[in-house]
Amino acid sequence: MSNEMEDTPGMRHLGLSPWLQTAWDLRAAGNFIGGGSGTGLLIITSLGAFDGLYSRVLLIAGLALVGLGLFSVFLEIGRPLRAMNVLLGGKRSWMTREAFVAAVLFPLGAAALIWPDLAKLVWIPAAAYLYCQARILEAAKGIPTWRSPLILPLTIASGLAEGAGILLVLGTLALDGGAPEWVAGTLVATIAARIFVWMFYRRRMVGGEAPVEAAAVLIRFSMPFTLGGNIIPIAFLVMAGIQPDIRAAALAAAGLAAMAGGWAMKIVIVTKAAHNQGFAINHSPARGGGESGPGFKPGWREVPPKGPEDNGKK
Amino acid sequence: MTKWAIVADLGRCVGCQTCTTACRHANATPPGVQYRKVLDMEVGTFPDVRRVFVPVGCMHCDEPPCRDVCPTTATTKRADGMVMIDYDICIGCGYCIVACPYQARYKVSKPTFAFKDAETQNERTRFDERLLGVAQKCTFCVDRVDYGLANGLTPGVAPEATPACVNSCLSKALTFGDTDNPDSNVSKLLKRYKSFRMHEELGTGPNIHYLWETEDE
Repeated sequence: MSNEMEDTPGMRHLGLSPWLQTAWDLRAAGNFIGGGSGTGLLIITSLGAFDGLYSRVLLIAGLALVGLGLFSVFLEIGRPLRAMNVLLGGKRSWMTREAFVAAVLFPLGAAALIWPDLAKLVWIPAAAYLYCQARILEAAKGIPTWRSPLILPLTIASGLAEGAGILLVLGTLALDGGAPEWVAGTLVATIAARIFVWMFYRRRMVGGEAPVEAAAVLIRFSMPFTLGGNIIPIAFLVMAGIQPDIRAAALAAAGLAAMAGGWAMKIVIVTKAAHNQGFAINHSPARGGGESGPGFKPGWREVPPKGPEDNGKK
Repeated sequence: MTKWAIVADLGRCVGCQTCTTACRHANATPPGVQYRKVLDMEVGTFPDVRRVFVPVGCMHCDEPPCRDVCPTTATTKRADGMVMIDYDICIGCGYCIVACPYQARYKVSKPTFAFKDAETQNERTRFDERLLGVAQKCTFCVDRVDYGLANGLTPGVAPEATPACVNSCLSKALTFGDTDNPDSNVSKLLKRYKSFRMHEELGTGPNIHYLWETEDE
């Protein structure tokens, strides 16, 4: 719950139409940012190990991002001293499963800093962690923009794109000779996947699967995201290919833009386009000798009226 | 088996909010926290406009998304269908709040009172520190129901064993009972009249049923 809302408890419910949830704020978004980027980086670094890539900087950066994400969400919870209770719900909760996977990811990642061969295994818990993050959003049935099945490929594609982007940035700064050639190709592929899924996701949300206000947020965000987070990185990669003089800078800029695009997307989805379900009735009641009337679903695009028999039990 | 549910007759509800008040009195909820509230809907376009009052709250779903996401097992579902929160286990992560499609859950992190900092005697007496920083919601007045069952009373029939909101309803719009018992008050209502459940398409199996046509043919 944001501090703003705590100070105005009367604003916790705002009426009939879906309103912006306030239970998860930027701190929760930070978990998806750090976790997505960190695991994306670890997956690509780990798979790169089969091609001879090994860098403690990359491993440490990936683990640090995941750790920062977890710390960020730790700041969100109401009873931090009970944080370990998060391990109790493994039977059903993807949040618990994420914590389980973290308990494997961190020791394995740390061990890979000492024994380089283990770096080839890090992608397994990293991928599982990223999958858990996507399922955490999908399981939140109260938020239409999160429960979409497309949130799963969108979160995974974005995590990989962010990871590839960070690898390009860190490669320029910390690796001898920069990042391997194939990283740029990986970034192109993951950005393409992300924008492809985004188009379908946006279309479905705008088409009636999300409340009008949430869809409007996505519409406003779509153009800057498409340009800044997806097309500009590709443009920088093209520049890096045709202008060797600025290659390193262009690669880093491409990575930075791809990463920033993913982070912005998560902030928007988690904190801006996160309107709840609102309330609806299937029928207006008959009063006295009158007749019953139509249903009502405020805050949503008008949907075709249902037949009078739906849910009717007589 | 038993499955507790509420039947709300939309044709009877007059939007008086007595149930809201009774609930707040029974549970001593802070300002802004309403386990039971009544929505005031204006449906249609002029000149065919009608006003509908819709009591809402925790639906004690058959498949509660709040339970499925809870990472601590603080949210559980009893054998009689009631969805409960263990305040001593909950970490207040808020996941259940965003998982609930009925906006039925609340989290309050610091004490709030009706008159700002000046707590009333009642608020001081009934303040429960366990509820700070954790999720809270309607319990179907589980203490009353369990008390009634332990003393041979029928919840939904005996007032001592019936949720406060249902007891207080002055138009008899709210009825509490066991939908698994075909002879119960709620089963008879659901058998006799047309009903719907809110957001049923989400697969949650909510247990507040809304009667929308109660005229006998």
